[in-house]
Amino acid sequence: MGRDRLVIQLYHVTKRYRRPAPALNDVTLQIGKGEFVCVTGPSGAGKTTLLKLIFCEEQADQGQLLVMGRNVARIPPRQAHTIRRSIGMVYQDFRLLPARSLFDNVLLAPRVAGHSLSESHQRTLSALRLVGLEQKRSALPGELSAGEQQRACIARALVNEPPILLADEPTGNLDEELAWEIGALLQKIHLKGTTVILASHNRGLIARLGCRVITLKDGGIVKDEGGS
Amino acid sequence: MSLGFCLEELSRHLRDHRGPASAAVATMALAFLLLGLFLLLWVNVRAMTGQATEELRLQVFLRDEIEAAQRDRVRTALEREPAVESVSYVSKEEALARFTAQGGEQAALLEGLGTNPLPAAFDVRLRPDPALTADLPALAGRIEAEAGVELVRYGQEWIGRFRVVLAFLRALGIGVGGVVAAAVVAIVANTIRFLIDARRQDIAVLKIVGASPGVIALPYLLEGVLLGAAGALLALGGLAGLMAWSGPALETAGGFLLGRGGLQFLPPQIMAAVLSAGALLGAIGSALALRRHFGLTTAA
Repeated sequence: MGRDRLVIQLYHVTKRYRRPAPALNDVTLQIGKGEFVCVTGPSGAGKTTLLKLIFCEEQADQGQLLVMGRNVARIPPRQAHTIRRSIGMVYQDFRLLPARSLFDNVLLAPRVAGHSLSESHQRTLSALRLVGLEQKRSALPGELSAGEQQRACIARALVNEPPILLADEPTGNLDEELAWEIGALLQKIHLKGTTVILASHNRGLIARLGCRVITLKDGGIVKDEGGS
Repeated sequence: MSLGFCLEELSRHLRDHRGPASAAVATMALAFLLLGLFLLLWVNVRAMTGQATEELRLQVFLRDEIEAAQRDRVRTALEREPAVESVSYVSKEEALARFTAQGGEQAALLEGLGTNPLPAAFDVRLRPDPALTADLPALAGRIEAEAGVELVRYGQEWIGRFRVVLAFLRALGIGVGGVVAAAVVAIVANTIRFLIDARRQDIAVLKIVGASPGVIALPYLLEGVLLGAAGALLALGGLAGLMAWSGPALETAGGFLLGRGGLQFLPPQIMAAVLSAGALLGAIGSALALRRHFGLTTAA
């Protein structure tokens, strides 16, 4: 795959926290435009750390990390938002604001990106339609099921049409049926051309998705299979 | 940066946290009220000084042997002084006539002398501007140094007393102003710190959706400006109310001191300065809280 087709590139990336063993250890990998990648492995393998580095929530101690061709290591923390605007992020715990309606939660992203109010309203409605929550736009997050909250979180991540979507254990709080519902939604988003990186330890879901699977263990890649 | 979005967030902040914001405004208003009282006192003492200066005259007594050319030079020197409004010459004869017209025992004594001991003089009227007449002793010294001038007289004592009171009030005002400024900064910083704490979740979500540090900080900064200005405005309103309530009683009690103008309220430029100070101190308090809380040098 040509370098211009690569949206994420890691070269010998290491990240340490206070523990003696690094959370990520000398990881090298490339992810191409439009790929659907599942990152899996046991708890503490480094899945969340990998996503945090890509999302500029953390900085690598060693190595190079390029997102959309920009070297994240050279971006000052004050400019991290410029990278985050090209990435949608979905968390296991949803991180929706409980006092704002679903619509207002999703609306935040386009408003922050500088879109006008009418443009932001249109984008928000489209995103809610995509995840099937248009009818529940006035509801507060607490009034929704876990699956619906996760779909709202995905709508917020997609509303600015970012080229990359990161999902960190998005099905961790859901039963099998709802997990597959979210998995199918991610597949649908992938088919629209978005690069999707899903961190999950749900083997059944990963097998059903049939995508490239990167397996991490103790901060290193132990298997990378199914890529194009 | 989307200003519209920042204003939307600001209005949400104010709506969601009316309690702490109102408490902060009320506390700041008390601090500004204290400062306002000092400013009011200063303004009125200054007005009293100005009024006294308006009625102030300088008398330049001339030597008997003064020549006409010297007298003209003294007049020119007086007219060149910015503090001088008008100069009129009073000859020895006029001085005697005025003195005699006043009557009394001393007038009778003068008649007994047979000669006129009163000197000719320049009667100098000063401009009613305390700033111009601030250094009256220096002006008197310059004129006294002119050839042919015997003595220069003005109301040295009470002018000096007024100046001491004004200087004291100014120093006290600076002290009170400093304390009020520090109090307002601390109140705003604590309020904004509390609000940031209460909205940690909101800030985290804003970062997730790609908000820049500026977009996150601006609503808080504007909130500080608004709270500071509101505190100052409330204090000015309170001060006006206090004056309306107690002004008539004060004027009755101390009317002879207040003079023609009566009790004066703060002039518009001082009110504007108090409001601006409130807004500025609010911004400083907010900036301190933002710096301390999430640095704004780090993005995470």
